Amino acid sequence: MIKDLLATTPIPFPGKPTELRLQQTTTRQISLLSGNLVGNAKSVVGGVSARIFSKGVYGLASAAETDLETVNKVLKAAAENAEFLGSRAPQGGDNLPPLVPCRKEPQKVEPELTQKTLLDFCRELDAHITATYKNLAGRSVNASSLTTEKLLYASNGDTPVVYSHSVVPRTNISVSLTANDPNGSPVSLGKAFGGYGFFHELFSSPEALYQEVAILFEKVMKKREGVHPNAGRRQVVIGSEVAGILAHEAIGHTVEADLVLGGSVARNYMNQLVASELVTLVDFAHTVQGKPTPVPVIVDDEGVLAEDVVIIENGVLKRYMHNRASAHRMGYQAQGNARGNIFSDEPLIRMRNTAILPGTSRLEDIIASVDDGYYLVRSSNGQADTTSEFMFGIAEGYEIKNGVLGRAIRDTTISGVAFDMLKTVDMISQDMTWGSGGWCGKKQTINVGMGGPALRCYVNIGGR
Amino acid sequence: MTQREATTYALEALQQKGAQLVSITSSAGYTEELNADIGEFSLYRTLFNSSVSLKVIKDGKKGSGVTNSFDKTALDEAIAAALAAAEAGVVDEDEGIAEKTENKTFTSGVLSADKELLFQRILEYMNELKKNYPKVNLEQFIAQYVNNNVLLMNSNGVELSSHSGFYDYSSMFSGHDGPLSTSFNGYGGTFTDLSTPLIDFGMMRTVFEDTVKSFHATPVRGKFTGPVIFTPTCVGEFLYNVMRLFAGEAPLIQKTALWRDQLGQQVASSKLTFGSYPHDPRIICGAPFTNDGYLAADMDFIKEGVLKSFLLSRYGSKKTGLPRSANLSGDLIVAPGDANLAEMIAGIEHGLIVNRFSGGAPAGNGDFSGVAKNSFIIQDGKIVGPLNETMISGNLAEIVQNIIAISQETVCDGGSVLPWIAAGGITISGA
Repeated sequence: MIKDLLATTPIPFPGKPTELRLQQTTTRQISLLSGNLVGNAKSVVGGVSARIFSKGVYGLASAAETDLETVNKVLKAAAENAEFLGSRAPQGGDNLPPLVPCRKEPQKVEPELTQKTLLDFCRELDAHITATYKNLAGRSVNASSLTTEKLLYASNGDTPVVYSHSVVPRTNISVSLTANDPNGSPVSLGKAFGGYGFFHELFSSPEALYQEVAILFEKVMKKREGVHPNAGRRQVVIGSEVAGILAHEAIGHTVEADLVLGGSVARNYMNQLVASELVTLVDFAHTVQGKPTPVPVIVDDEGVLAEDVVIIENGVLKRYMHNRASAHRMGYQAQGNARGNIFSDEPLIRMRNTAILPGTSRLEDIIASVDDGYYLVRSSNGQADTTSEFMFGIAEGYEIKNGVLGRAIRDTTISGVAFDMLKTVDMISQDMTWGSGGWCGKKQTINVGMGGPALRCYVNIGGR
Repeated sequence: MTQREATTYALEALQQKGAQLVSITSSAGYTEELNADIGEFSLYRTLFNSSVSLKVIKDGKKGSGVTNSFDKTALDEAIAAALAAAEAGVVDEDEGIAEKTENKTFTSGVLSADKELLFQRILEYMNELKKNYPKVNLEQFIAQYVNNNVLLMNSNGVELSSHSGFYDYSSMFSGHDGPLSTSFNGYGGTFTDLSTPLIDFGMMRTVFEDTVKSFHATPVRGKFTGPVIFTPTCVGEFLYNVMRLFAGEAPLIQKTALWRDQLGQQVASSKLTFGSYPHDPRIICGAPFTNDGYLAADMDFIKEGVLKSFLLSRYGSKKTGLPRSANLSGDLIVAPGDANLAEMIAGIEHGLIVNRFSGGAPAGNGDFSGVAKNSFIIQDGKIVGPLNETMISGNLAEIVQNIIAISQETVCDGGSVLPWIAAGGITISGA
């Protein structure tokens, strides 16, 4: 555990808004590629960073060691950087709205996990796949155990008023299966399991995943016989996992305040109807329905107490996501969206756990209502645009003909203009699920939660 | 400890603890980074960087450990982690480390930062942008100087080191004119001196000019199959995917790579020649040695359409029985063609010129689809207007066979040298 460095040796802060963050990111990783152990590593990356706000700009410095001498060194370097930039290009004063004092201790303590435990689990799962499924061209089994521990001191001036110590684990086991199509070309489908939690909390035994792997195998067998979609604008049912990336990519990025200030189309839409009245979109801080979110944030990396941000309520755009500076500039209150990935990263405006809220329809009724379209189950990647034009890769999907699921489709991409597409949403399912392992790559790659129900809407789909 | 002390300590400690083969790669340096958001300076960041990566093979089993500290306690923890991983591992006779070769030290780039001049160049860039392209909003600009010292030592006696320093920048921007706005776009590159205004670097001005031509974008009508000219800003991504999917290490080990039996055979149009050339003088601070401890050499991937190399490390080579790559740096250079860009455009009856591709991850067989961003429609040999909500779909293996023309003109961004490439047989569909 990271020690409270300032408990015994108070260090004077520079009289300006300052964050001092000690952080350690521990990763264990296993990669089995068709039975070959190609990855077997433990990584510990940690250190300290200091960020100081002065004349409307920030200075930041970081180093790998966390002793008092190094902490003083990075505080000094951060102050010099703030002075360098502030003296040449001042953007304002030294003040930000004051932080609310708080003290938070970690809710979890990392338990012992050995590399052998993780590797044995993966090897047993891999051996099961090899023994059970004979007509695969390739397979991979990967494990990733990531624990991020942070200790943040944040001040309005000379003295830290925020002390936030957190330990956030994420563990994923992912399986990818490859089969050859009738022409001998590879067709792959993968799935990640797990999410927020330590390994032992999420994975009891390899056997517990066998049924999931059996389903994945059936799906890849269907996909190898799959067809290219008929390219163009189509009515689709977006499955809950894809709805999560829709919430994140298509809508979430356009309402991050830095992108709004940069010219996102959402700057024109505050308090306007931007979606079907069925749509409510929330960026959750740490708790949903009494359970932790995939990426719980209690206090963000600027020292702001995190709370839920209701972005769209019944179709009306209500809030943007902010850091302290953007909230100050635009006249709002920051709600805990500033996060940095590793210790040396400055906090950026980031989504945390973004989801469209469930509706009242049943998934089977939504599918049955589509005469000619597609059911899109799993995404691969995605990207947003400041115009709200989005795209997601689709790794798993099926034709819908006369309300019945048909042939699988090959990998494809869907796109649309979010604030147009959202107005075509006319059915939302009553169930809601969170993805197992979301990531966002805005300057720094950081983990995020993405979730939602199934939706019926219109999108553009790539194909032939 | 110093970087060398930490590297030597880890190497010796692992051998003393029973590892038969050990390879250590360490790095140390610093980064000076200036950021601007919405056209205003926002952050100056200094990073004191360090890392140590340990690879051990004990009784034929591999394990790895990583720390970013030269502190003895952190090193001891990484050493213990690497050994524990190896002891938990499985015997793989294809594992190993680089054989003894001549020890070498390389120096490249500029070894100290001129942060005052860097600041002035950024200021000049932002002022020039406001003056010449007032309808372009600079959403984010990041410029940095990176100083990095890499030391690789292994238990076979290999010792390779490099000292490098370079500047780079990246920019993200979009056009705004009253209620109209364009898709965002980005551009940047790597360089070693600050003698040239940043706005004159590579395709920067061209990309700004394209942005202000993009306000009245419309989708293509319907769906058709036709040619696309890929600009240098997206050629690199396509060719990286071609090599990764059809000749990369993971699909080769899985025996699913389409080109696994095609070395020395025609896999692409004879117009296409490209490869990875870390020693080319146009490449800034190309990696002089590989992560697994071999001196890097320039390498053709495809020469006149013939597959010349795979992307394989030492391990991948042993595992597949195929030749190891001469480098794995991805310093991509595509040989220019014999057409000029104006002629290429004039030769297209109905097609697109695509500046940025925003698409799903291509499938293992090369199928791809995605949105043509910051792109234009070509009609009867002329660029007639900007596009939005238009998708392109095709297959990468077919695209490299269906190359119509490659431009004489190329663009260097410090990490690659790329031309415009026109290819046919692509499905183009509008909203």
